[in-house]
Amino acid sequence: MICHLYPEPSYFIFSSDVPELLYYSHIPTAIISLLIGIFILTRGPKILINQILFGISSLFAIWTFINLVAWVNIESNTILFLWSLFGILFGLISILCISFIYVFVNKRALPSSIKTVFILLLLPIFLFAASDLNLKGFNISDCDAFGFEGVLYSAYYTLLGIVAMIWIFFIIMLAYRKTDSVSKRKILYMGMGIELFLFSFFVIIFLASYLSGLGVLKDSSIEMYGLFGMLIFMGFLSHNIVEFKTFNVGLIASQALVIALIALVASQFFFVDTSTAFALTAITTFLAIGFGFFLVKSVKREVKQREQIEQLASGLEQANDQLKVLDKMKSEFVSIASHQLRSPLTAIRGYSSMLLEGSFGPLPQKAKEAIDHINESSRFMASSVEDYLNVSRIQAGNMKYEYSDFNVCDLASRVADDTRAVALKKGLLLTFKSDMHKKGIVHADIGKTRQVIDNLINNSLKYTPKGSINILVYDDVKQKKVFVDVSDTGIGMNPRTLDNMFGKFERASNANEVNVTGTGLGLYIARKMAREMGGDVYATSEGEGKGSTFTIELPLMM
Amino acid sequence: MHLKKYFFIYILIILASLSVGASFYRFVILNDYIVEYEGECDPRFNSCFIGCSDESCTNTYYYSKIKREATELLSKCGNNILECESAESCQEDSGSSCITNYCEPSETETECSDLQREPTQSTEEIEIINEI
Repeated sequence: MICHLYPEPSYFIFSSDVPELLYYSHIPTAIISLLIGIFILTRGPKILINQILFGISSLFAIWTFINLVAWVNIESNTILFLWSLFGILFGLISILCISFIYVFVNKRALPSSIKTVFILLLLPIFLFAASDLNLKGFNISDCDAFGFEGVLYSAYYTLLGIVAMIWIFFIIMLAYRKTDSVSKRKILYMGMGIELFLFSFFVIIFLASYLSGLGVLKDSSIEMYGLFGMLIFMGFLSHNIVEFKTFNVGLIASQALVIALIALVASQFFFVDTSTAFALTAITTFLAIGFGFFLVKSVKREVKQREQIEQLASGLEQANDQLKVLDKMKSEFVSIASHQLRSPLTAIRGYSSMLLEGSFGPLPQKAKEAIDHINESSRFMASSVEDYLNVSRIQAGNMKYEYSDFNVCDLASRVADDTRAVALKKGLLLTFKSDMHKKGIVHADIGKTRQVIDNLINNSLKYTPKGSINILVYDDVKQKKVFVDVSDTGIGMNPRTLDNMFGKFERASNANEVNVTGTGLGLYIARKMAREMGGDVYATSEGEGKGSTFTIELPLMM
Repeated sequence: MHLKKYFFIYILIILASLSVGASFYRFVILNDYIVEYEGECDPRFNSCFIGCSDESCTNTYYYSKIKREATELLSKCGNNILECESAESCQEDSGSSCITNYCEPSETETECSDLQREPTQSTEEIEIINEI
């Protein structure tokens, strides 16, 4: 039966006697949601969340399409049949929205118990869709069925939408508490989008239908505003795609958005009524297509570049990981090798000392000189082995520190006394001074602190051909720190050398001119040890040939 | 494995298809529904609804609301009731489900026509006049 008071539509969906907003609210929203759904599905057809999103967008597009046909059609049979499907689509969209958020948040499929609950919730909708509880009749004069809709049935599927909103809210809240800040934002945006969509889709459309049925509203045209909820959801979804690369869509998302934008502009054609408006809409559409084309092209280029950079970064990360493994292996090798070297060296040093002391009888002068040379070389070798061992311990994190309170000023004085003889042998003057306001008690490993001071004095001894080495201990009560300065009149350093001085195996460019035996590990070890004890080691120099000052800094106990 | 994985989806598709099929059968094949439309009404004998023929409502007309089975109406008038005399009012052969509703000022906010019948006329007389 046809509604004789209304004009017959052309091509099933076009009619002159419908609200102007109808095509604008229905066609672009359906196209946008369907496009994004299809694009996301094509990107990963086997991924569950993509399938669910496609389900939501296609069901929404179907709902929008049949709603549009119901609006413009004048055939009672067709309108009633389509009208009866609204409840089914509402129900399916509700449970898909819950499923979508559940899978998005938990990254796993829904358990069977929830699926069973879904079927039970949907069962009344399916069972009574074709009954009088849903639709009883049709008003030919108004060409609608608002007066014949069952309130109980429409209230049920609207309630299902509200239940979905509450359910989604709890899923989001639970996940929001447990997750990190980036995921929190992702979940929040997605949750807000889907909640707004459900609110506008269910509540506005139900109110429009209910109030029209009561005769409060002249027609249900306000339901058209409910559809814009999908655009809000798609907006939040696109934001997540762009910012967090959700769904891994990238370029496709920008293409979909451009097409959607063109569809929005082109939909203005449905309600232009003057030739000027038609021309302006045509120009705007043409410009949107042109700019859209260039936009997609530029995004494509940018995405490609970003992908290349990401590939490079990933390659570098892998190389770095491999290097770390190699470095660890090297340290282990050095550690094993050093341990193997230390035992025979101890024997060499012990026996050479005994020979020099005359434990095995008097030796000729030439033999004494040779054994002295052996003793000196083995001492240096033992020191080098100790350095290698220390480095491998530091890198492996196995260096052990035994903390106690001691006077660092006294310790530095003792180290200075012990090394003075070596300095004098080299023709160098070694002085010690202190300028303390407090006692100079520190809480650190006394053995390691001694080693740090020793390393710095030995370093100065190695690179000072003539002049003096001056040790100064002083404190700064305000900063609560004690400092040990080891200044020399040695070869000095340029700024570039100063920057690299504390790296592994680093030696000054002019180091070989005065000393060829350094390993380049002493300063590295000294700094690492000092930092581990809450202090630091640093160096200053006015330039090459102008001497250097190495400073040990340790926290002072007040 | 495939069946187990998509069992829930298959159940939904089957239920939804059955439901859609049932709706199609009822509304499109059987035409099993009620239709409501504007029937004739004489303001001299009945309280009629007043309708507007144009947007500014300068031209008005009187009508009653008729509710009847779609199948019954279709069998008499076909798809278009505009030129169908049987559709204008409920008659003896219209079936028991055919109901004519007149305007009740107390029940509706719509404007109703003033009843211009003679004070002496009984309800039975009005019905006889209507039939004539």
